[in-house]
Parts: sequence; structure tokens; C-alpha cells
Amino acid sequence: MLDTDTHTDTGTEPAPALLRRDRQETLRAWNEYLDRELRAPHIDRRTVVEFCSSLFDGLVEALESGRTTLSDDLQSLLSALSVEFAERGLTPSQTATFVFSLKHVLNERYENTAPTVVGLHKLIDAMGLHSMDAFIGRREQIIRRQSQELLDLSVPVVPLWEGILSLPIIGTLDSTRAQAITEKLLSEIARTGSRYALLDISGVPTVDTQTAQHLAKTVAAARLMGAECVITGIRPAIAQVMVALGINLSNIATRFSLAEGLRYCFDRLNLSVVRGS
Amino acid sequence: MTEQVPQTLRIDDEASLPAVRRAVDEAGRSLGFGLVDQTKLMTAASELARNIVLYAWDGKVTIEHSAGAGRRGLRLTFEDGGPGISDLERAMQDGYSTGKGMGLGLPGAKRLAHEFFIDSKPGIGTRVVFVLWRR
Repeated sequence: MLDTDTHTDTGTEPAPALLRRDRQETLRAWNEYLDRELRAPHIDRRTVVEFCSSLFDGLVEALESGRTTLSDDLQSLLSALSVEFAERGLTPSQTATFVFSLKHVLNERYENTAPTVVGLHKLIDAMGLHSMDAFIGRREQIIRRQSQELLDLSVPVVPLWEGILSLPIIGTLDSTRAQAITEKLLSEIARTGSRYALLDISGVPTVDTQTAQHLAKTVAAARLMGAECVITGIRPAIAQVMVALGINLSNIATRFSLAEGLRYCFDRLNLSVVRGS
Repeated sequence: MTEQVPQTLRIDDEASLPAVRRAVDEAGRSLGFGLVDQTKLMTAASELARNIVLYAWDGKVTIEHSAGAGRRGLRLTFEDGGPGISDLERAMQDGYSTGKGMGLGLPGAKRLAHEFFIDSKPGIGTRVVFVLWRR
């Protein structure tokens, strides 16, 4: 006999009530399944158990209210789960497995007498998709934060002496970093009233025409503010390649080492280093 | 971790440049280039890859070993389907640029190379081959 209106096989017992009745056993089965399949040593078991029961209860509530979309509470619960997983370095598929495995557990438990409510599957799918979105959103947030931190980290302006700043540049000098470095240097020049700045490029692997152009622009901007820049740390190999490329920095003071650059600034400031007697 | 040579890398924005430099660095190291030559390789790769990003937006580089007349070297082939260079002779002169650069990229890269070929057809694209032999 076909009965299209009633989705539960018993006909008498609605799915949410059935799920509620079997709550303990279903949760135990789900936890066991996750113990076997999730393989996530970075997440402790209690957290897993808590997420399981909250998700299960949220699902049953949603079924009872007849909703097919996720409530705000359920959404924030899933977001919290995904954030936790993302921060602990779990993979997206582990996060998806966590949510979708509930389907598997329910199918196994109610194999022939399943409360095959269409809404149930839709809800679990929606839960899985939401957790994916939240997971990826969190990852993107982490990546954005890290690249910002990296950018801040990579622009250290160090006062070396009264009136002398030093700026060790490490890594590739691309447009974004050149911009950040210029801004930081100019604001430090204004803040400290420094007359000299040492741009040390020992940590820059290659100086191509764009890098040189960025350096020249930074130096020109500092000059407008009354500060002279000295480029230091030009390694022999880089000097040779710069000449071959045809880069001309002859209107900028350059020195081989940071120490030589500092000596240059001392000379200009009429300071001398004297060995103590 | 050493990548296979030949290797082809896509170049489609400034963020692809570090990957190109790293791959060229590794390939050059595995051939035993000295420090100056290694710097030449990476600088030229940076220069030519940036040309693709600036003018063609999308292209690729193939990194491969090159052998001939008893010597070994590295060959970098940059290809793009960009607008091409209408006046190749001028583009190879110092200080000429249609963009905001110094106009030293192409002629500079040529000076860094032992062998350098450029082929460009307006509307079709540009192909640059850069070879450095081990000394």
C-alpha cells in the first residue's frame, strides 16, 4: 500500500518523537562511528561528544517545528564547530564527514523501519553545507590575518642611533610590500625626525628592475621629507647582476654592509667613534 | 623536495612570481650553477615573468635542462597569448617601455643570458627563450 503523506513506516509515530526516544543509542552509535572514521587526534573526545548531542538536538527541534531551513542557533552551532575544526587543522572533508556521518548512522539504525522523512535528509545536507561554508570562511579569515601579520612583521623600522633609522628588508620586494615599507619609513621619519635611513637589502634574494624602481621611489619620497637614504647590503652577485641589467642607482648612496652605512651616517652627522683609552 | 625538470608553471598574477623564482632557483642549483649565475637566472626569470603579468596577464614558463656542444645549462621558455610587441627592435633598447617600468627588463634579461631569443606577433603573443650555460 502506498502512503505518500506519512513518511514514517510505523505511521503512528512521528520521526522526531522516534529520534528523541532513541537519542542515547543513536548518539552512542554516532560517537563510535566518529571514533573509527574521523581520525582526528587534535580534537578531544569530549568536544566531539558535545557537538554530537547539540547537533542532534538541534536537528530534532528543527524537524519538530517543520522547518526545512536552519535556525540561527543551529547555524551558529555549526559555525562554532567549523571554526574549532579549522583552527585545529582538520581537513574540510573531516568536517563534512562529521556532519554527514549522522545520515549514515541513522540509515544503519533504522534500516528498514527508517523515519525516511525527506526533511531530515534535507536538513542534514543543509547542515553539512553550512559547516563547509563556515569552515572555508574561517580558513580565509586565518589566511587574511596571517598575510596582514606577515606584512606588518616584514616592515620593521629600527632606530639605530639618534637621527638614524634602519630598515632591514627581507624577502621579495613586491609592489604591496614596497608600498608598506615606504609608508612605514615615511611615518617613522616624521615621528622621530630622523635625517638618515639605512635600507638594508642583504635579505633580498634578487634585485630586478622593479625592485630597484621601488627602492628608488622610496628613497625619493624620503628625500622630499629631508631624510637621506643609504642602501646597504648589496652583495657581490647582486651588484654584478644589477650592472648587467643596466640598473643605475648612482644618485643614491650605497654601501656594502650595514656597518659601513652607519659609518657613512656618522660622518655626515659629524660624529666619530673613538676607542676608549 | 626537488621538482621534476622539465617543469611548466602558470604565470597569471604577481603572486606567481615567487613560485617561478623558487622553481628556477631549484633547477639551477641542481645543475650546480654558481652564486652569480644563480642570481642571474632568478633575476631574469623574475623580469620576464613580470612582463607576462604586466602586459599579457596570463602565460607560462617552461624550465628545462639544455645540452649541447659538451655543455649543460638551463633553458627558460616564457610564452603568453597577450597583445604581443609591435616594435620588437625598440622594445629591446634600454629605457623604452610602453608601461611604467624602467624599460630595462627585456634588454637587461638579454644581457644576463648566454642565448636569448624573442619572437612576438601582435595580437597573438610573445615567446621568450632564455638560456644560461654552466661555465
